[in-house]
Amino acid sequence: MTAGIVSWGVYLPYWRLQRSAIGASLGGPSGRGSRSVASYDEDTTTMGVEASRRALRALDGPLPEDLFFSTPAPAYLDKTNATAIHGALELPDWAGAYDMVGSVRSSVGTLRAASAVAVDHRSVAVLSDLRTGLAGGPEERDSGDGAVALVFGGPGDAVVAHWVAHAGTTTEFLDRWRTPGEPDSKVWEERFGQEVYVPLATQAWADALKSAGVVATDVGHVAVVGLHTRAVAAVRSSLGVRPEALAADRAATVGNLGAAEAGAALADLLERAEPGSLLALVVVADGADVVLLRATDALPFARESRRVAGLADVAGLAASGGGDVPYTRFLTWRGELLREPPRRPDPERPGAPATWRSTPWKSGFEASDCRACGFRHLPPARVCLRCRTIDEMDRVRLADVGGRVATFTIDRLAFSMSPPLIGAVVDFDGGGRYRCEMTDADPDAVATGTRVEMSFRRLNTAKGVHNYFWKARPIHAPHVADDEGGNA
Amino acid sequence: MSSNGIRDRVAIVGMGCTPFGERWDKGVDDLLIDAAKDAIASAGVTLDDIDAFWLGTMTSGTSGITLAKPLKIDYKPVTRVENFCATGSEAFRNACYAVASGAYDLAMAIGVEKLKDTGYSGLTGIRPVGDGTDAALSSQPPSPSWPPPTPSGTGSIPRR
Repeated sequence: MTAGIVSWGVYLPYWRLQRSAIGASLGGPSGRGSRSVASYDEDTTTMGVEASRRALRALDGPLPEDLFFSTPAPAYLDKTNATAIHGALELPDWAGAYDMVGSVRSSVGTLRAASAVAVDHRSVAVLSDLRTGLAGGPEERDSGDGAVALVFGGPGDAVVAHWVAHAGTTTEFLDRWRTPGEPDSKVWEERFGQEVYVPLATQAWADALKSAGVVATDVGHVAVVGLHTRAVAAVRSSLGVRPEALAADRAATVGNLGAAEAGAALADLLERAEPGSLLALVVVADGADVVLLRATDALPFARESRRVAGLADVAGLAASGGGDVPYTRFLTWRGELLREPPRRPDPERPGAPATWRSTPWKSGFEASDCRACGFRHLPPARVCLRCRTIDEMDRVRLADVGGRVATFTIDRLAFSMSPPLIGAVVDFDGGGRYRCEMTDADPDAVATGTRVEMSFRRLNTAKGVHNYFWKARPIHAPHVADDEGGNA
Repeated sequence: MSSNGIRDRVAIVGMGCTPFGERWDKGVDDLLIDAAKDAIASAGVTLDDIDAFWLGTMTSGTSGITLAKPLKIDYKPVTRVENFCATGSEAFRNACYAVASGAYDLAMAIGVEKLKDTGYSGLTGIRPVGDGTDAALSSQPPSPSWPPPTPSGTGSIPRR
């Protein structure tokens, strides 16, 4: 057998924009349901980190040695964004990290690249998208933000779905486009795109089935994704699969995740497939791609491990958003509504040498434990606060360790893009105390003892430098053990 | 009015010195810890044995916290001095007088400058720039994304 998927992680932001809120502000109908909204402190890189952490949480064995990051909305150009994800995951320094930037279609290339190298070693494909659009338009209303990570492994790995076949068709034509810096994509008349897309998808579908030696009715589950809604619907009805094989999308509650949609669809297939069933992903974007996968007997065990690790499935995530963001706040977060800035100095850009030296702390959230007395320091220190022993420290990663709020303050005067600002002192399970900002939190629900997890966020952007660091966010999953934490 | 010497009333009992250079590998905290660690080792004392500290720095920090934070010397008096290029000797001179006066038995004079963490070459007078994680502290002024993040990542606010 070939390589295949060994794990997956899906991240959908906490916030939802109710579509009715758009119409309530702008007038006129604006549809039903909601879309997912990345918070002001999130971008495609931070969401990619969160998806990747979820993909690795319930996975044993070695870390991926290649990371491929795909997004049409990169936080940086020229500078690689995948290295920030590499840093936050603390992948080994010999592991590669590459951006595959640009279009929805690049997500398929990312999956193929990750699958190809997985014959040799584990790899991870990270698909992330943050989608806006002009106020009141369909792009804004029907899109969603999110990220998905898929870990691939080789023949000897605990593969949950083997890569069976890929077939694609490519044509240069004008369906949708956006020049760099523009928030909104333009589209040609939809009927034209449908006319071009359907034959391309039909050809790719036939080629993939032929290559795998199967017929359409052998396919157990199929998902068709793409931003061209009419073409996707037409392709779905033309595949010749059993009706029950067609997977539902998440347009009603989350919206179309753009480049991340293919990953979300794959994750959903993996969460519902029976061992042995044939899975198909069809991506309609500047051509068509079909990927066929075969679920293995390891899939139910992986799902059980994920359940134990507290990972919700895609359907659950899509159905349970966190808070509703007011439309004016959404517009502010996206830079579409210019607001009076705070009468405060601009934030300082982080220094390159200092950031480089503190990568294990800033990217990996590593504390230091004193070998002499056991005291845990956040940020890591060279001199022990308790016994003043010098340079006798062990590093310990706390990014993936939960904690509880020891005390907190709700600051209604401080400027925040998501007021009120909540500052918390967090005691980590197993020791360590740190002051940090809380994010994705309902101020009325925060209490002493609230369970939190760390989340990789963008604190600010100064002189074009994104300042990435960790914040605490509440978790609601039940935990068996609640260690007191802190330093005794 | 007269100036009186302090000969034979104070002695240097230990010293430490870091290599000089661009030192991309070390921050202000690291340089201070390296020098202090070597100094107390050569004197055969611990940080706890030292009664008071004089820190000389021109642009690498303000107040005694610059030294107290990395060395974890809570409850010890730290005085930060600055006198342009005479900053180091100013710290040294004041530590000497503190011992000579009988106020303290053991004092540390320490000087630090980190010129290459500013993003520019040469003497800019700009303070070294940190890693940005201090901004996460809730006691700091808020650290908003301003201007707001743009989906395109170009760093400009769309205006129309």
